[in-house]
Amino acid sequence: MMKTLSVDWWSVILALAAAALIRMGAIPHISW
Amino acid sequence: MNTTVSRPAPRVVADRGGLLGVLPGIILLAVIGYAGKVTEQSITAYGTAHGIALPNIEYVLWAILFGLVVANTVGIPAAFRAGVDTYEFWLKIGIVFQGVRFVLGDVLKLGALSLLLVAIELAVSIALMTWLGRRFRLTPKLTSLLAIGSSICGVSAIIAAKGAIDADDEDVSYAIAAVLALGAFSLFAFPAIGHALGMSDAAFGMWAGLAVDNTAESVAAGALYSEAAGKFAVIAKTTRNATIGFVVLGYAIYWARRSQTSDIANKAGFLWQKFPKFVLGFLAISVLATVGAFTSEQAVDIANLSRWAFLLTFAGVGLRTDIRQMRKQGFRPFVVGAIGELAIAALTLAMILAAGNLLT
Repeated sequence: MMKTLSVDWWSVILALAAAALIRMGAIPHISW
Repeated sequence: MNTTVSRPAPRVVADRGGLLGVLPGIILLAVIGYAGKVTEQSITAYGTAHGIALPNIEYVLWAILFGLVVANTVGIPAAFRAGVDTYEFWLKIGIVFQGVRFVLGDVLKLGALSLLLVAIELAVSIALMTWLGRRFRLTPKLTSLLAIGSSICGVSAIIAAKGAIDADDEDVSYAIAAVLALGAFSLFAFPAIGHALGMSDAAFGMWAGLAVDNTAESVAAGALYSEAAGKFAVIAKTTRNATIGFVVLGYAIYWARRSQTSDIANKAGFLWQKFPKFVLGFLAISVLATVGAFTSEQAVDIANLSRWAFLLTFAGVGLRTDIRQMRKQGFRPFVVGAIGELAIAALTLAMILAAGNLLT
């Protein structure tokens, strides 16, 4: 599975996963 | 084929030695990008401490410059190259996160306006590049590649078109070199012109999104002007990228009719295959933000993740710009590209200024 996904799909999956973790409070505050 | 300037988009992040194989290059991107951020902050702090009004040079420029210096002096050791190539992944993930900064209504309004401007830009730039290519006696396929690269989105469009029109590696390398060289020039020229004309953040961002070819350079040019301009560059460029399938399909059909490539049986499948999927992620995050899925603090966190992803991207823009390789590519494709790009930049600037009221 990992070998068939394009960079585009990986960027979508990982970004949505990170957003979900932030929504759940699993990721602490991200500063800039 | 020149591997330095014509770097195909990696199919998967984990290729070439797995995640450990890309780690050194990602660390290099982070170090260079962070050095750019620290430099900006240090200059600002120095100016404040000494009461001197120093020009605020964004970290974007420092990250690109540091990357350029490293790539064109010591070079990028082989162990770092796979990781440096991931800059395109960080660009895409950064764009997806940017969705949090747009409510869906803005996306639709700006997207519709962008689409209209993109349609005009596409028609003019394809016609112009085709004419210039013939005038300068470039090969027909190199002309097609330059037209695709300058009308849509630079390197990824050229790579997408390569297989579809069965172009030579050498032509692909030329077209990519021209697009990258002009992209590097745009990074410095566009913000200077924008400031000279006193353009608003929205107008400048839309212009950078419409006229600068490669997505990374386009977003960087917007961010160099201001953070708000970077946001508008993302949406204009994303809209432009979304048209990639249609233009590449058009060219594929054109070359198939000239019996130089095989015809495309499943056109809908082809369009879906070429569609940049990160646009869907951008829309998904925008929809979630619009329906209130995130608190304002969470939205800030996601926007900050976007900034960190772009920090790696901008370091990559500098690192993969190899000036020596570009000089080897010859000047004719570059001249055609430069004349075409100047005309496209002027046309899109005129369109943006004419559409000024719609952007406020």
